[in-house]
Amino acid sequence: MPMRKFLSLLLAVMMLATLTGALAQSGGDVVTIKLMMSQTQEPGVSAAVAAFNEAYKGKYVCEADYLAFDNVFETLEILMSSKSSEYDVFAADGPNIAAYATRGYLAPLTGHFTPEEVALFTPPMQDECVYKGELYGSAMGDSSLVMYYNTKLLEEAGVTYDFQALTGENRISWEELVKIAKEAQAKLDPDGSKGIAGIEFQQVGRTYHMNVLANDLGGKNIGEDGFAVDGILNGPEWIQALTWYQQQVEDGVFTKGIPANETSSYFMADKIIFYLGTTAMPGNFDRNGMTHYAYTYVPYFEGHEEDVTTSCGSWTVGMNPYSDKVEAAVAFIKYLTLYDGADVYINASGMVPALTRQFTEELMTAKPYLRIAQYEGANTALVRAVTPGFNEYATAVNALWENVRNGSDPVKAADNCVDELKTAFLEYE
Amino acid sequence: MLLKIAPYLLISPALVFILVFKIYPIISVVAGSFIRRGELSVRTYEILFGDRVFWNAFLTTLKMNAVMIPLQIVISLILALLINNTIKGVGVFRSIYYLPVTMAISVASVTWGLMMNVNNGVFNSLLSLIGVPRQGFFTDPNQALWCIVLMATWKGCGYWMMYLLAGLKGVDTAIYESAKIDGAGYFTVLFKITLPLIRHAMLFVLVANTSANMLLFAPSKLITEGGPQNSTNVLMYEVYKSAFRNGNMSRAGAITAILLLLIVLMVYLQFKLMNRGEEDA
Repeated sequence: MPMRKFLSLLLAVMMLATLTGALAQSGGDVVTIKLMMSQTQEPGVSAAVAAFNEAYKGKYVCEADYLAFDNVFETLEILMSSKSSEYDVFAADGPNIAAYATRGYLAPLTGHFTPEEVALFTPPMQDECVYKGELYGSAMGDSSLVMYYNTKLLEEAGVTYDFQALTGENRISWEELVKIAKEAQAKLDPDGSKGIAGIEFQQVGRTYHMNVLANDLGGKNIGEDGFAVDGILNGPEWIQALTWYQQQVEDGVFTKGIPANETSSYFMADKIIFYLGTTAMPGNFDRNGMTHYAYTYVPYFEGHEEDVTTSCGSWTVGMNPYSDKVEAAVAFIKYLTLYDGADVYINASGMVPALTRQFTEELMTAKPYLRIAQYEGANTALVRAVTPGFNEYATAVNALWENVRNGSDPVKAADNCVDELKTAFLEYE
Repeated sequence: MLLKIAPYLLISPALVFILVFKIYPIISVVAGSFIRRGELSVRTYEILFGDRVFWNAFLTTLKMNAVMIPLQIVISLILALLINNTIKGVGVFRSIYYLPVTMAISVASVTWGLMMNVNNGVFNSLLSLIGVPRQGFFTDPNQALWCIVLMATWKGCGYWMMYLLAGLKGVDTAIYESAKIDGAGYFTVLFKITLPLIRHAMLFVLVANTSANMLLFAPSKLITEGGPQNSTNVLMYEVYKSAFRNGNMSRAGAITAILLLLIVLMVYLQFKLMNRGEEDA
């Protein structure tokens, strides 16, 4: 008898469970989409994802995976080369749009965005996301280059130069900046035992920031066809920039042996006086309790006042062409990049807005460094090399800067880089 | 009938495993290197053979291994001979020599990268104590490759030492005693008795060491990224860059196929060399 009772009870429980499950399933038509994003963007994106899930409660759910910066690119290559549909939406770094579109990793978004919606983006961001007339990415934010300086070190060194008086039209020159940096180093670290560097780029050894030096002298990143590099990367402007940079490294003004992902730690540890980085840096400084810094416009080379450039561009989100949740994916992309999610992201991230409407007085008051970014975006921003072979380009040009940093002859290193790229680009013939 | 089938049935799980996880990937990769945009083509190889970066990586791989393989085997053999004694506390030395093997190659790479950091690494601090100027190590194109060789040797010798020690333990001690009675010196015993008798262990170490070192990749990826001036850009790193950075699976497959051929050729030569020695003996 007890056994029969037990079996009846078990049967009833199972029926109830099945019924509950079925009801839950039929009651929810909730579509879950998966997002792959760089960990560097987690503060802003996670806030926007939470807001999206709240706004579309009962309809769509977004689950995000945050990968380490370098792993984003590799994971994307592995997944998309095998036509995976694991992620419906993923982070596509702006300069890679052309490469990903060429390889079929991104679904065109043109049909999903109205011209009015595309026009919401700032002009440089429209340029970055469009390849061969098709919109492939939707910009989450933009970036810009700002020069931070360590006020404590400059005060200790007795530097009285008024950096706050600098404007977009009245900048300090690289030559003068190097002179000030050397004088400060001589006072702060006369025997070099403290290892205090004068100047450094946040992304040292990477095309994103380093190309600015060549661009500042009038050098281009790549030819108009997206493949020509001969006469450009080994042209006079580039050789001059590479030679100048090497000289500064040898003089100890710029650092040697420090990778890009460690430079901010060095600045925060008072080991770098002038630091050229993105507008995401103040958030990083604040989180680490660094308050003795200020910021101003980036320098120019004497005689090249009109050539001053700043790096720009940032993460976009793209849609997987193998996703079968197009409607939900498009809804998420628009939410994150055009509408409420875009505001949540910008407020939480410290990135430069990619939408014209987001440059509000309120935002500028909360993040005053964005005024510099707004000026640079309108006047000096230069997108990175637009080429389907951007990965190859970045690998070779990153190595070029790093080789010159480590003592290679600039002319030979540039020629080698050009040879390497010419062969690499044969893959796209 | 059952007796005839039984052996095949018994080895079939292992055979299936080998076919699926070893043979199929090799065929797939090699076949993939001949496919471009969905069509059969040798264009990938044409581009590759005209690519200076590839040839540089090829030569770097050979140069690195030409030094590293003999170096590791000699050091492993010396260590194995040292700990093949029955003195008190030899187990402690055995553990110490083996300890680097227990560290993951990624951890070892990062640790050596920090120790050899040009700015604040412990190696430069020690060198400065004896008045030697700061060295570039992984940032110096003339030193970086040899720093990797040093690191890989430190990491790998303990492992190969164990195989050679197993070989040494298998040698009958009566042979040593007879040689001693006959008045043979240490080096005569070593070259005339010990080494010929551990030939099989040596052959295994030689082949396995060659395969492992030819595929060494982590230090190039984690410390130098193939630089400076491509001085540490080995073939495996070139495969990685082609496949996972540039999304060029065809090129990655072609380099893998060449690397595979190179390893097979080297192993074949090693077998021939060791067998000839055996025949001579």
